[in-house]
Amino acid sequence: MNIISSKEEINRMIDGIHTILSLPEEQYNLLIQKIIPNDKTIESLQFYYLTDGCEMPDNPIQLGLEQTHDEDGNFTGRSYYGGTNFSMYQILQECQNMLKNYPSDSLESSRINEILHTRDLSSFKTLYSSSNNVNPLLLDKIFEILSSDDMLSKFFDYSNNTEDFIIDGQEISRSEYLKHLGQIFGNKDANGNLSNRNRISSDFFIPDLEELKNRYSQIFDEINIDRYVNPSYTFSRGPEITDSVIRNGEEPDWEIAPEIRESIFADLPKDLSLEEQAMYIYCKMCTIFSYDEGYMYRDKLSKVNYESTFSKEHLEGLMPGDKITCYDFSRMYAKLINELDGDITAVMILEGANEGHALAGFYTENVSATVEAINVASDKDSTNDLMKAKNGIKLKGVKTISDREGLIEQALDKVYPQIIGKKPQSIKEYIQELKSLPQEQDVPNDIVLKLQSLLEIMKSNHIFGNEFAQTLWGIGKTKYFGDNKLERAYLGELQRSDDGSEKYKRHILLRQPKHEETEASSREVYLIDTDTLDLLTCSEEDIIARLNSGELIYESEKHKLPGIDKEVVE
Amino acid sequence: MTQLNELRLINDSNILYLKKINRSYKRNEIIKNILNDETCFFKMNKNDAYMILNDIGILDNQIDNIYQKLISSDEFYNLYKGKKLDLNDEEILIKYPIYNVDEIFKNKKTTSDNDESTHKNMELTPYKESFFIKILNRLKKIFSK
Repeated sequence: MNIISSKEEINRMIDGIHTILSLPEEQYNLLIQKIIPNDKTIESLQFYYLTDGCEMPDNPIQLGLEQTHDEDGNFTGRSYYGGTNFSMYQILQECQNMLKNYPSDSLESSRINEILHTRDLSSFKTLYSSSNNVNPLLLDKIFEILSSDDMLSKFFDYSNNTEDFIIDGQEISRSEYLKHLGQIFGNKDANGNLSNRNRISSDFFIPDLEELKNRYSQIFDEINIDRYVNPSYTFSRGPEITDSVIRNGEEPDWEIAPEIRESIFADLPKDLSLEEQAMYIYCKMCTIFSYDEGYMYRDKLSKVNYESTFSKEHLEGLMPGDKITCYDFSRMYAKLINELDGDITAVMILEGANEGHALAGFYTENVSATVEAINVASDKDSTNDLMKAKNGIKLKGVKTISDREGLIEQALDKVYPQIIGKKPQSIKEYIQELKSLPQEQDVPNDIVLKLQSLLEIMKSNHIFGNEFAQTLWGIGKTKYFGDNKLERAYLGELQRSDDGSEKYKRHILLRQPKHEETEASSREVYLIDTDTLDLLTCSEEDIIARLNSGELIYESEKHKLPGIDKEVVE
Repeated sequence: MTQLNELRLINDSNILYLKKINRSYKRNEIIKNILNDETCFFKMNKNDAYMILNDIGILDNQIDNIYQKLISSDEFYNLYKGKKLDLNDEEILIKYPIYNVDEIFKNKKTTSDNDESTHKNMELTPYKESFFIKILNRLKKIFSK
């Protein structure tokens, strides 16, 4: 609602309040009606002067409460701009301050009290109760907890004081209280401060608000309230804004093969907590499945599980020991977790707008975490818990969103040895094991096999093009290819398209250095296509011939391999 | 690409090569397990690190340089910020102090709210005065000509 004052007398806020206090009765009553919050709308007040800039200067000048539309629905406002936005809290706080300036029986005092009443604690409770379908008595109890140290300490020792929190003869769980507390007061920022960007702080005026917030802050620090204040906890959206979240029931139902259930649940201990069960299932799945590396070549192959699309037939056909993708793992994991008894929920998260990767997430009252058994992206911390679980290595794919008590780590420490048969080894233990092994002696230096091995590893890590060239340069400085560094140069291979356009593909030309003068003058050379990482073993003459024909050119005239160059025609 | 990732690639290539020529790759498998832990070099002493780097095939004259990068304070801090390193992990042998920025600057005085109005009311500093006077004098000269 816009309140228009004629000109600046004191400041914008005080002038605006004065204007309200001197409104004609009809306008004032209309303002009061509008200012009372309801489920659909909660009005704010904007203060303007006649002298402020406006977009509709031809519309009639109005003072006081601006009518924006007439009876016929025509816009009659002037669309003022500029000025300062005040929250209702700030405006009402100023009203409260001004109260002392007026006699208690004055019109102004009466109006101020009436305005304050529209946005007091009682009004907030009424609105919250109505909007969220909450028993008003529960809200009363919540604010009683926040207003009394005695009630607060009983709240902390809830299990021994449940009778103090009964509503309408019914026992209420503490989580129900926490849910509403969290919704009302919200989360703390990185500096540990409660936000003021919530309704109770900005749209209402509660004089004791700071005291209430202090007690809420104590609750926040003492009890895990994250589930009710952090949207990420329940995966309201994915970790990134382009992620999508698939919840239980949002995809068609499907059946997990009995063989898989048997593999996972046959030895499940009976006394595990929900978090321990979640970790048990994760570890078990990591041991019974392997990663389908064909996914790395999905642009050349077309398989249903290489995409995010749901396929009942494919999923129901999975068996223990199968090679699976991140989509399969995440769907199956989420389904198994959602079938557990208890307050635990799992979702599947599809990453990115192109849904090129999947992981799962789950939450209980105590923890929220994601599980990502497979992630082979080279630009991230690649993880393959499917491999790690089979080798007794500490799993890395579980990442907590909220876990104040360290339950996930404890759960993994408990269930992992039960599944793997041993505790994950520490670095120290690995080093001890390494020292106990002899070094391999007289390992042959087969350059071609070494190159092939290297290229296979690069392909599986999706390292092509310039990144491959840079990595090869780094590896070339090691003893990987033996004591002598391979000679290296870059070549371009001319390619002509159907439309006649030309471009060059980059190749790396490698050659072993000459060892002895008696060695044959023509040596084997190795040509690597940096796009495909295909390796061609050929002779120096082959390269010279291709240089002569113009099919290949050196990238730089200054960096060539000696003895391999175009023949100069005299 | 990070230094650690490069080491992993070289080691993986070694494993594959040794498999192809039917030689034992047990040492490299253990090294692979070690390198899976991003904080591994902070959990071992220098001699063990050198042994591993030598096994991977790093040249002798490069080992120290690479090792120093792997255990640098920058690397430590990045792992800490990325929540990959737990300061309370008893396995960590090499540690760097982590500072709380708020603690460092807690005694620094902040400017008061009045400063802006104070500055507005201040006279121009001598530098600015002389700058304008120079311009004025130049204009006078031009017009006098």
